[in-house]
Amino acid sequence: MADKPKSREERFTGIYAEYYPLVYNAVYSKVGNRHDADDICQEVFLITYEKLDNVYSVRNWLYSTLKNAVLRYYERNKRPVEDIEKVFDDIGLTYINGFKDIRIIITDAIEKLDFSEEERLILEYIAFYGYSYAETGKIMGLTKRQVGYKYVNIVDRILEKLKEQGIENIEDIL
Amino acid sequence: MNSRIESFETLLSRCRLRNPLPADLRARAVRSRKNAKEIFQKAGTYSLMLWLTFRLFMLLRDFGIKATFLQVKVLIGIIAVNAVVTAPAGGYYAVKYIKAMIEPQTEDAGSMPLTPDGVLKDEQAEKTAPASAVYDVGLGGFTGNSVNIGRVERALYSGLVEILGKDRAVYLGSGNRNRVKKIVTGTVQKFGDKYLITAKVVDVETSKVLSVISEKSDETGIDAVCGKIAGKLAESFKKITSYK
Repeated sequence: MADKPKSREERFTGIYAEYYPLVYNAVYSKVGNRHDADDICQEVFLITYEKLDNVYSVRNWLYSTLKNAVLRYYERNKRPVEDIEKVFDDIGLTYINGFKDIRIIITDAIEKLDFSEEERLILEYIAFYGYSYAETGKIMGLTKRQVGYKYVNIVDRILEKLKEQGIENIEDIL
Repeated sequence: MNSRIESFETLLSRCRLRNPLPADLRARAVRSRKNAKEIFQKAGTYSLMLWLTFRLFMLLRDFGIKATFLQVKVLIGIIAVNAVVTAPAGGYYAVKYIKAMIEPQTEDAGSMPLTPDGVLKDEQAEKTAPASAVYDVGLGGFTGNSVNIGRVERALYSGLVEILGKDRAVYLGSGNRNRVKKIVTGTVQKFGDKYLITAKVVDVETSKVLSVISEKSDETGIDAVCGKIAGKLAESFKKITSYK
């Protein structure tokens, strides 16, 4: 979020609108229960609202807050986890034989392209989590066409970057 | 969706960077974010004005309008003024609009009260039924990469109403999601010039998927295929429930 909002409510509602499904996805993948995922997401965003003045990187803040919230959930449900980092290690990054190097190249390309936060969210929702253009539009406050246009541009930029790193045709490696 | 996008997403899947959620979970995540009321209440900042502004803020986003919170506050003020000073009819619709905004949302509330083509449809679908009516099936929430999703929903709904009757099938929307026993939802995916239409029946109480029906079609055959799917859905309902 490049522009500085004027009030706590303004800043919070923007974060809540755009990041809630992302947090929900991450939490649900760890707890496996919709109602518990709802409760944990409420907890995460309540903490975020109360400590909004301490939030500088929204993404980092939400990620660390949700990890701690999931850890508390595990402890309440007698599922102690010594190292919560290991529980979250596999989000989208599970090692697959033969594709580990490609995965590193893709994530490296995405990092180097320095997408805006809006572009990153669009990429994550559609490419990583399978949200439709319409669903992503509702989250981001964009029309379906706008989302589609931006997404295609994002993917084209990634594919160009992959070409620079020697992957001319991704069909060849599928 | 063009082939390079499909290839890119296939590559992400192979690298385990892509973990698509089921459609109903995605819909739940998108829907649940509209309920920040508890957060404001627990934080001690809840007020009717804040809640109205938040709801309108989210509603505008659903329509692809990224207004700022301040702009939405101004809009709320304008609506409130119009409700007071305009003609009774104009005031009535403004109050109705605001009332729809603050209508309590149940845990499984469906789509927003006001949708591009959904408000009147929801009202018309229910105006002949008493408020306590319970429907056997509610249809809606289809997703996918095709512009024909609305067309598929309408065709499936028409087919279901034709077979089951208007008192048994309803378009899912605000206020009626907790009055259906089963939900029909699914996806419409376009691959090249072909469509894959998938409809699934979900039990509202258990959230279990009871049946899944898929059919392929080209653009001209969508309506016919939806009729076929509606027929199969009706058959599956007979097996699942005690229908006449």
